[in-house]
Amino acid sequence: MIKITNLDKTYGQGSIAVKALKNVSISVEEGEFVSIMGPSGSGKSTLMNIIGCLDRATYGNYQLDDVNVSELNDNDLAGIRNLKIGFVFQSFNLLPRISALKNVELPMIYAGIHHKERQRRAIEALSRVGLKDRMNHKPNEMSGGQKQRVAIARALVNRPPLILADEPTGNLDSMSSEDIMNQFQKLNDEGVTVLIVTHELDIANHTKRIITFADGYLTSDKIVETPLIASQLLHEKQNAFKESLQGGK
Amino acid sequence: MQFTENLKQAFISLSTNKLRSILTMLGIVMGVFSIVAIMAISNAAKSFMSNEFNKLGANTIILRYRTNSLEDQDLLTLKDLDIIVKAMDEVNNITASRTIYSTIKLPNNSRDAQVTGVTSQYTSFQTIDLKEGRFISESDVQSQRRVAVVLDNFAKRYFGTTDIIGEEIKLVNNYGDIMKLKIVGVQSTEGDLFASMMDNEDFPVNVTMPITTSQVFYGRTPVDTITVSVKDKADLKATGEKLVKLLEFIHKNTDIYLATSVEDIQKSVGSVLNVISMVLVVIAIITLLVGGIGIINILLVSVTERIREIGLRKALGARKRDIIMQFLTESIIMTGFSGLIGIIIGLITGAIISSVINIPPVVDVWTTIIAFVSSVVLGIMFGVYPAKKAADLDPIESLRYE
Ligand SMILES: Nc1ncnc2c1ncn2[C@@H]1O[C@H](COP(=O)(O)OP(=O)(O)OP(=O)(O)O)[C@@H](O)[C@H]1O
Ligand SMILES: [Mg+2]
Repeated sequence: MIKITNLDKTYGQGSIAVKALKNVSISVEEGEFVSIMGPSGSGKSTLMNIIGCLDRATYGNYQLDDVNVSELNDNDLAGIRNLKIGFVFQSFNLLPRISALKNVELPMIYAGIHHKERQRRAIEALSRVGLKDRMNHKPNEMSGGQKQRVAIARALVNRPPLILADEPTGNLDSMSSEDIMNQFQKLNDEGVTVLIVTHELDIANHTKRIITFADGYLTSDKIVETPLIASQLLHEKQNAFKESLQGGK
Repeated sequence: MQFTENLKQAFISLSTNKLRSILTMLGIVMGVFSIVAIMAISNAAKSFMSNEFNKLGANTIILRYRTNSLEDQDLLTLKDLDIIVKAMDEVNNITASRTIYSTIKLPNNSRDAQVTGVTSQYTSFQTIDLKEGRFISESDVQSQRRVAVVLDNFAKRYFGTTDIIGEEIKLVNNYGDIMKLKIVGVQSTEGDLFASMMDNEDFPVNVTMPITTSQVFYGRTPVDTITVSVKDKADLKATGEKLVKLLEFIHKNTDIYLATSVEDIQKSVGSVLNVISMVLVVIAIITLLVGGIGIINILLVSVTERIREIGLRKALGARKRDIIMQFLTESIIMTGFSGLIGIIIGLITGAIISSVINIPPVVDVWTTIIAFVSSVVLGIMFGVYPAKKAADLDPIESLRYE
């Protein structure tokens, strides 16, 4: 699905040039669940932006579904972002003035889907992340975890084959993080390819493969033998939480 | 992205900053309002003018003196009228008048009087509505009768009624002689804008009397205007020249008389009106442009405020043209709405002013349509730069923007 060869990314020019990615080659097959780790400034976000067609590589080749992305123009890239890729951001990036439902409808507006169908699919997506009863709420009326679930609903609503999430649990507590990972695992079980950037090994251990970056270089690429299963952990955590409440009585 | 979706989003974003949007729109409202009101009033004035001139008759030629330095032999006389009628087949009707400023003696004071001496044909050139009595007749002119026609507002002011046939007024000439005139008619001024404006102690009293009586009492300048109506409207200019030639032949002079057709006067008054309204419209357009700068300014602010939103929309698949349309729609809604409001207020104001100055309002459909269309076009013009700026933002940098 993703085929990256000898990719370089340099920000700026001359003396202030920063090499964010150096000779990176990765392949990701359809249906994989990959986490990208590494210290701050190692180039993780840079890579995600290039994979997400938000940015272009300085050098090297990137093929998405056998399409050479580096040859496409801005409009084609917008189309790819719209239909093939779902984004989830650390800071949610929901539009504050409109309801959860309208937020989820946004990608479909740009896909030219008409009003009725859009609403139906947005409700379906929100139900999937367990927020059907909150669909008319505005983002500032929701918790961080709920916001991120709205963002996931938005990312999956155009049924893209690839979901990219840059530190999706970065702003969330462990319970909400578990919940979000649960959502990603469910999506991945349905065949969606998921790439996440994370700083937490705990989170990365939910995925099937961990790629590590340091200073712009890809330093390791390991398969996770037995990924953690979020739905189980979530269950356990919820029970533990209930017990702690009862114990406190 | 669908049009209706654009509209909805634009409404949401404009209503988020209601006050700001309204204040920005005010400039455009003012501009469109001024244009529409100016056009409405100037059209009304034009149609009023052409009405007035049509009363005079479009095939009318007015003969006057070209200069003030006149020899005795240059003066026009009633005899000239006879000669013109006899000599020229083209002439349909003819009248002469002279206007003298003198004094009228009233019970308690004296006032200036504008005394018009006329022949009986005067009424075929000027619509005169009589409230009471009759106008100056042919026999009044023949026998130099001491009779007069006054205005109804004069009658009401000094007699308390318009029924004053048979009453007397006293006029005074330059030598201090007093002449008593019997009132035979009272002219109605209903619906006459200028008459009602001049119903005031500061303006002279209007008195009409037989031209012959006026000549006897005031002496010299027997006739100052000859008004001729021409049978065939087509050769107005030629007839005018012929009339002047004829008068020059009679009086053995040149360059003394001037023929003006009502059409000429109408044209020159019309062009003066046009110049005035063009100047006003230019000022209104400047207002509009200033309003437009306000819109550009506010849209630029809006773009800066929504950089993250723009980045997000791009990440979700918005193309450049989607972003451009989003901001253009906002701009067009602002100017379009302002245009509508401006047009409505403009038309209302035009109607109010027209009714105050007694001119029927003239709604020019085309001005209205053009005003609306151009405010929409302005919306596009003012919106393009901010919209382009938004569309050209880099998605990643926008998403990162704090
Ligand atoms: N727009 C930019 N202009 C210049 N340098 C940049 C830009 N974006 C990123 N960089 C640099 O590129 C390098 C990689 O940045 P990147 O954001 O990919 O790191 P990261 O691995 O995502 O870090 P973090 O874990 O803190 O998010 C850093 O040194 C950063 O300073
Ligand atoms: Mg990062």
